[in-house]
Amino acid sequence: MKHTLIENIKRFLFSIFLFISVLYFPAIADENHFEYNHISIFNQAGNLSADDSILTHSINNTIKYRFESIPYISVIPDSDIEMNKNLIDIQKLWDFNKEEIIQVKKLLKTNIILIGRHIEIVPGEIQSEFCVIYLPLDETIRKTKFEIRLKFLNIDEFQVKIFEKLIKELPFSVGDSFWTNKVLITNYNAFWLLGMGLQQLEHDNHNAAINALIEAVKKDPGARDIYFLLGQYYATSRFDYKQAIYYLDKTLEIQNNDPVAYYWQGFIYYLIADYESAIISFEKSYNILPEKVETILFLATLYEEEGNYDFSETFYRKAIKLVPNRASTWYSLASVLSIIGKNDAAINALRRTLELDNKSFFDLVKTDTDFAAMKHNKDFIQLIEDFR
Amino acid sequence: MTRISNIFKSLLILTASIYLCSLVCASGCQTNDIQNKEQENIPSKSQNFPVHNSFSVEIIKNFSDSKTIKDIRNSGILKVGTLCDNKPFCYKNDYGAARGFEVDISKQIASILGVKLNIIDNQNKVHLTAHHISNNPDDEDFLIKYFFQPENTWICFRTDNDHQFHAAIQMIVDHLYETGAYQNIYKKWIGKRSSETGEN
Repeated sequence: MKHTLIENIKRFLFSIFLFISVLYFPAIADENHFEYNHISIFNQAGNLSADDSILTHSINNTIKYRFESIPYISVIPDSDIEMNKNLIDIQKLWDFNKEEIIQVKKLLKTNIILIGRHIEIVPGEIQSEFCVIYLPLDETIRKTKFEIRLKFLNIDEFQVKIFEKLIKELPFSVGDSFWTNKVLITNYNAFWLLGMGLQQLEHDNHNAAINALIEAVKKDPGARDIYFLLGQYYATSRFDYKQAIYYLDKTLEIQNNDPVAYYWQGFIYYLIADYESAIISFEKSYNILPEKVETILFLATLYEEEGNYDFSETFYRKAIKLVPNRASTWYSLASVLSIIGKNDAAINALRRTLELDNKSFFDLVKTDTDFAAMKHNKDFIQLIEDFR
Repeated sequence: MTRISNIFKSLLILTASIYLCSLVCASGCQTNDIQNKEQENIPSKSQNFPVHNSFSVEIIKNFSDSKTIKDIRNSGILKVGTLCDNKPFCYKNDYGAARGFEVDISKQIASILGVKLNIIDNQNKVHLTAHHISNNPDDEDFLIKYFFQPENTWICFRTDNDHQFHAAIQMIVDHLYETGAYQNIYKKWIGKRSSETGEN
């Protein structure tokens, strides 16, 4: 009898343990299943008046720039959205059309879609509408739509209020630096001119856009976002890299710990093949914001190009730690490992690449001359056989 | 007591079943996740970066009918043929990796096309060849050449016989020249006093 009782107590305790395990299992799995967010921001400008469209551009742009310096977040570049704009129907996204959402996820490799439109309902009062579509790893789609009504009195206070309301609805935390590093536009006219410049750029009226932006910096010489936009514009649209560096330097004069400005400076040096300067700028960006995977990948690539393979391997591994499921990073790591003769590790990295994306990489693995030295390695032959 | 024991047993079986189900579901979901990702991935992105620059966008869009560009984008590799035995133009480092002026220029071209570079140690079955020469080469189809003083060096690129591809490479090399990237690579590998004069 006593024996049965002890047995039953044991069973009871064991079942409680199992029950707790079941309850906590998803949480444990979630913790280990880390997700790095790639956010794409759209202006839902349809059916807006010209003035509301200007407002939408400036508010969404301010949001975009703030998000770029949040840890574990990458903002999808405008050029990627531009490249695919004929294939994306923003109205359908706004209406939560599932096919459209899946299409955008595929095209932009994004897992958060944010659409915002902002209307001045009465003078001095803004109604902002946001649509957030979140595509987590479990392939579900979570979506929400909400409205904010705000008084448009003090422009920098207004921007902070927008962030506060918006961030509550987003599936990530922004970190403390988000609130401390807020070099915002403080002049209403400058905010307006920024939106006007962006709107003109969207319509390819480049001269009008530049005039508006130059006027904007005159109104608010401390406006980091406007200098930054000018730097980006000269780099990506005019290919005037000297001018781009000039405006990014101005950005860094305003905020000398701006990781995104250093990132862009590095990117421009990379474009003009000044690899030494590029490494310096990317290192600065990395030291301030070590969670930005694009910076890490650039450093890995640049060190590889400079022949510093140990550093390159270290940075590829850091990138993989942040974004473990990106096949191209595993593939690049495999290339470096193969060059320095770490064949076993290279084959393991290739195996991971093919597990993640066999379709894109199988032929590459077979033909890439970086792996030519391993062609007769039995493990490499086996790898090809396994994924054929 | 027996009843209590049975309740415990049932609870145990139920809990264990839920636990096992959750394990099976978790591993199943992960498999589905990978499968879906395989199906959804856009092929041929051998590079780690998205296309950041509208120049790349222009080139890829404007020359999308080119058979060679399609081949490069689909395979994810730009194959450049060069004789890799002459430092600083092209040579193999201690690890056997190709390095040098022609390699860096080719890397920039590959980067603009959004693909990976493969340097091939011969001039056959490649998309593009790169070489240097001290005498002015004759003008001919599919040849792009630049002259640098005071080293009196001609840097030449020859594309395969796809007119659209040739035009794209001409635009890319001109772009590298106009933005100063070409000169920076020249300075790095060949000389600090690179000439400002270029010639097509």
